[in-house]
Amino acid sequence: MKYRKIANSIAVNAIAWIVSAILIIPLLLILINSFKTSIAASDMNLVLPSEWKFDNFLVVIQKGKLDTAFLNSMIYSVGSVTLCTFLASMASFVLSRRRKRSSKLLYLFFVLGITMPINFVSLMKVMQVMHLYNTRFGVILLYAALQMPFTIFLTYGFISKIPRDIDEAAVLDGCTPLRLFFSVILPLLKPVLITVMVLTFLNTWNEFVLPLYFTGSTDKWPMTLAVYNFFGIYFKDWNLICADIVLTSVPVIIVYFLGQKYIVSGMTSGAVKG
Amino acid sequence: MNERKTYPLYFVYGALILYVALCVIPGLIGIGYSFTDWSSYSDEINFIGLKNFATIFSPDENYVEYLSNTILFTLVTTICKSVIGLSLAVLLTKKIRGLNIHRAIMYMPAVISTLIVGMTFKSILNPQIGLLNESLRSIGLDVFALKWLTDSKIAFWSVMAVDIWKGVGYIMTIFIAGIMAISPAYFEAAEIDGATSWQKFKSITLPLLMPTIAVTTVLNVLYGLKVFDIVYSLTNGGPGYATEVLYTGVYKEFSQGRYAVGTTLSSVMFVVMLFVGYFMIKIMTKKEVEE
Amino acid sequence: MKRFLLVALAAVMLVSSVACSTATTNTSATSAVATAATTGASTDSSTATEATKQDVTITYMVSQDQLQDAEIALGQKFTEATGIKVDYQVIPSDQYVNLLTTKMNAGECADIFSSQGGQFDIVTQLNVEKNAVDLSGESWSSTVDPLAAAELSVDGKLYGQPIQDVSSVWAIAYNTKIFTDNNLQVPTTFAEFKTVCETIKTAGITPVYECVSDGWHHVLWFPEVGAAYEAAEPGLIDNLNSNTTTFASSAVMKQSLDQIKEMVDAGYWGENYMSNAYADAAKSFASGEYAMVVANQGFGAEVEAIGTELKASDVGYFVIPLVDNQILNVNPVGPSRFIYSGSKNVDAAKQYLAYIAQAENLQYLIDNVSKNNTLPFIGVTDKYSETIKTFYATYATHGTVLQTTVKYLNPQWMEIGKELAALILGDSTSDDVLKNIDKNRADQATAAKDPAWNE
Repeated sequence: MKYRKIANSIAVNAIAWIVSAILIIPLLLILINSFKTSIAASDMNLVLPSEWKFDNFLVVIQKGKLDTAFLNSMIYSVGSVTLCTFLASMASFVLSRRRKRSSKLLYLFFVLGITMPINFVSLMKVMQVMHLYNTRFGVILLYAALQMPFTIFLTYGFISKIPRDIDEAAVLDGCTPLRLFFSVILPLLKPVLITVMVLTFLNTWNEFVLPLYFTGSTDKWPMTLAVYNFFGIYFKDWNLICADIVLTSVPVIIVYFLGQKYIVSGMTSGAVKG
Repeated sequence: MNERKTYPLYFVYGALILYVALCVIPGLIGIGYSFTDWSSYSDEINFIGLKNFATIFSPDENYVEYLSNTILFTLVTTICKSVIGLSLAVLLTKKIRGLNIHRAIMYMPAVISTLIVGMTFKSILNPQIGLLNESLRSIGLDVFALKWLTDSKIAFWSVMAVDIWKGVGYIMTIFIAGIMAISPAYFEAAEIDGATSWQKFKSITLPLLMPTIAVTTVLNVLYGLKVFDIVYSLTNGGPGYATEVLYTGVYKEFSQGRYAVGTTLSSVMFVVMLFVGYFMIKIMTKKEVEE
Repeated sequence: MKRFLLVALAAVMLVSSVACSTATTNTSATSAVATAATTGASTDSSTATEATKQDVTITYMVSQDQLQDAEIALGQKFTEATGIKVDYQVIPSDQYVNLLTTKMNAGECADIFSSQGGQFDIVTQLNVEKNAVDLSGESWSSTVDPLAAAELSVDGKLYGQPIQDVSSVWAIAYNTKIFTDNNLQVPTTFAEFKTVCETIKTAGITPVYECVSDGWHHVLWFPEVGAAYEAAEPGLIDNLNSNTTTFASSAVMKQSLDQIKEMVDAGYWGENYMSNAYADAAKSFASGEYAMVVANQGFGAEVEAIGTELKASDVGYFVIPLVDNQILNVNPVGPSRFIYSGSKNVDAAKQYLAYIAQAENLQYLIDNVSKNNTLPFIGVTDKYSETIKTFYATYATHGTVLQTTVKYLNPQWMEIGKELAALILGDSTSDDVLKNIDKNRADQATAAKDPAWNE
C-alpha cells in the first residue's frame, strides 16, 4: 500500500512535469531568442546565445515607445476590467436571485451577446455619434461593454452557490440592497471575482484590434499594438520581436501570480461554504 | 422577503446600458448590412433583400466546406480542451510539489497573444529548420518529421493541436476554481468510506462540476465556431483551402471589398451560434435545477 | 418598462454629453484622457492643439515595409525644420487594407496614408477621387516620372506620391557563380530553362527558391509575363477588359500555368517551397543552397548584406522565361502616399510630401534604402550597378505586367495564390484556376457596376 502511494505520487509528479515542459518550450524559445543577435535569432532554436544581448530590451523600449504603450495598456485593462466586473457582478447578482421569468430572459439577452459579431464600421459610427472615437475613455467603455456578456456568464453560475439564507439574515438585520451587495455578498464572491478579473484582464491586455481601429494616433496605442507597429518595421529582426513579446507578456504573468495567491487563499480559508 | 425590494432592477441598468449601446446596437446595424450590396466598389448602398444569402448557400461557393471545417475544429478542440483541462485541473489540485509553478506554467500559453503564438509555431513547425523536426531528427525519429502545416492532410490537425496547446491552461484555471469550490467535507466522507480516487472523481467531483463543465463547454464551442486568429496566423486557410474556416472566409470577402457578403456570412454564423448558445444554456440551467 | 426606457435614454444622453465635453471627434489634433470609469474625466497633456502651424502633428498610416528607417530619419529633420511632428503608424500588411477601408468608410483616417497605386485600383478599391486630395498643383508633381504618375492619376489629376522604386522588375535573380561552375548560359526559352534547372539539380543544388506560405510571392510567375500573353494573343488585354473574352479561353495562359506545375513536379522548387518565407530568401540564396529566386533588383544588395562571400555583382538577372517570354516586365505601379481628403491638416501634410520630394531628400532615400536603386522622380541619380544596367539593356522590348493592364486582377492576388497552391498540390487543374479567376473578376465587376459586365 505504501509502495503504491509512492509510485502514484511519482507518476503524478512526472506527468505534471512532462505536461509543463510541453506547454512551456515554445515560451522558452521566445525568451532565449530575445537575448540573441538578429542573425542568430532568425534560426529560432533553443541554443543558448553566445553573447547575451541585454540591450535588445533597451532598444525595444526606446524604439517601440513601450513606456507610453505600457501606461495605455494599464489604463485600458485596469479601467475596463474594473468597470466591467463591477457592473456585471451587480447585474448577475440581481438576475440570479430574482425568480421571475423576465430576469431569466434578461440574463439570456446578456449572455447571447458572446455570439454577437463585431462589425467595425457600424461600431465606428456609433462611437462617433457618442463622441467616443479616438478617446481612451471610449476604448475603456468599449472593452467593458464587449466583455460584459462573458463576465456575466461566468459570475452568474457562481453566485447561485451563495445560499439565500445569508441574504435573508442580512435583510432581517435591516440591510439595504446596496449594503447587502457590498458588505455581505461581495466579500463572499471575492475568489470568483478575482478569477474573473484575471481572465478578463488577460483578454483585454492581449487585444489589439479594437485600439487599432478606434484610435487615431500612436500615443494611445497599448503594448500589444506597439509590438505590431514594431513588427511592421523590424519584421526581419526576430530577436527584437522576441524581446518585445517578453516585455509585453510579463505584466499579465505577474497579474496571474498575484491573482493565484489570492484565489487559493480565499478558497482555502473557507470563504465559500458548501 | 420582498424580492423586488432586495434585488432591485437598477443594479442591472449600468451593465445593460453599456451593453446595449456599444454591443447590441452596432451588432444589429452590422447585421443590417447583410441585406445590402455594400462593397468597396461603389458609394451607394442599396437594399437587396436576401440576395446575399442566396449567394452564400449556392453551390459554386465553398462555404459548405468551410462550415464543415469549422464544425470539425469546434468538436475536436472542445473535447480535447475539456478532457485535458479537467485532467490537469484534477492533477493540480492534489498534493504535488511545486503546485503553483505547474499551475502558472500551464496557464502561460494563454497569456501570449494568438498572433504571436501563430508566428512562433510557424517557425517551430517548419519542416526543414523548425525546432520540432530538428529535435525529432536528432533523436532518430526522422519518420515523424512531417510537413506539419503544409501537408493538406495534416495541416488542420496541426492547427487544432496548437489551439489546444494555447487554450488548455485557460480552461484548466476555470476548472481549478470549480474544484476548489467543492467542500472538502464530501471528500473526507468518501475517504472514510474507503473510496478510490477514481470513485471519488466519478461520484463527487464530476457531478458537482457540472455547472463549470457547462460553462467551459459553451465557451469552447462558441470560440470554436468563431475561430479566426489562430488559423489565420498559422496557415491563412492554406495550404490551398485545406484549413479554411468560416471566419477566414469572412475575412477574405472583406479583403476583396465584398463587405455585404462578408457581413452576411457572419450574420449567418451569429444565428447559428444563437441557437447553439441558447440550447446549451437551457440545458445547463435545467441541470442546476435538478440539483 | 416605459420608465426604464426613459431612464436608459437619459443615461445615454448623459454619458455622451459628458464624453462630448471632454473629447472631440478630431482624429489628430487633440486627445482627452479619462481615468478609470467611475470617476469623472481629467484632461491629460495632449499632443497638439489646433491653432498654431508650429505645433501640429500629422498622422501617417502605412503598411509594413512601406516605411523605412531612412524616411523616419527624414521625418525627424522635417520636424526640426518646420515644427510639424509626424506620428508614424505602421500596420502589418495583413490588417492594413481592411483597416484603411474601414476607417475611410467611417470618415476617419490618418492625414497621410499609403496604398498601392494602379489607375484602376485606386478608383475601385480606394475611391480616390472622394478620399484623397488632388496633388496636381504641388511643386513636385511635375517631377514625378510620367509612367508612374499615370498610375496615380484619374482624369489627369495626380493623387499620389510614389514611395518606392518602381523601375525594379520581378525577374529571376541567379547566382552567376553556380552558372559559370556548371557551364550554363542564361535561358531564353522555357525548354532551355528546364535544362538549366535539371543541370543545377543534378549538381545537388535546389534550382529555385519559392515560398508559397507567404501567399503572394509564388503568384508572380503568372501575371508578370503578361506582355508575352498579349504578344501571343494580340488584343487579349483589351478583350479581357471589355469582357469579350475570358482567362479560361486563353491557350497561352493555360500553357503558362501548366508550365508552372511542370517545374514543381520536376522538383525544381525543391522540397520546402510550401513552408519557406520570402523574408529568408536572401539568406538562403547567399548560402548557395539555392541558385535562383524571383526577386527585384534590390536583391543583390540584400544578398551582399548577409555577409557571405557572395557579392551583389555575383547576382545576375533574366526575365521569367515562362511561355518563352523575352519581354522586360515593367510595372510602374508601386506603394504611394496619399493625403486623406477629410484631413484637418492638409496643409501640413502637403508640406511633408513636398519635403520628401526635395531632390536631396529623394537622393537620401535612394542612397540609404538598399532596395531603392532609384526613385520615379526626374532629377535624381540612380545607383544601378553594372549588372543591373546590363540586365535592362539586354531586353529591347518592354511590356507592362498583367495585374496593371487587366482590371480586377490585382485585388484577387491572394486568392490566386491559393488557387495556385491547390494546383501545385494536385487539388485543382489549370482550367479550374482560370475559371475561378474569371469568376472573381465577374464578382468584382458586378459590385462595381461595370457596364461591360452588365447582365
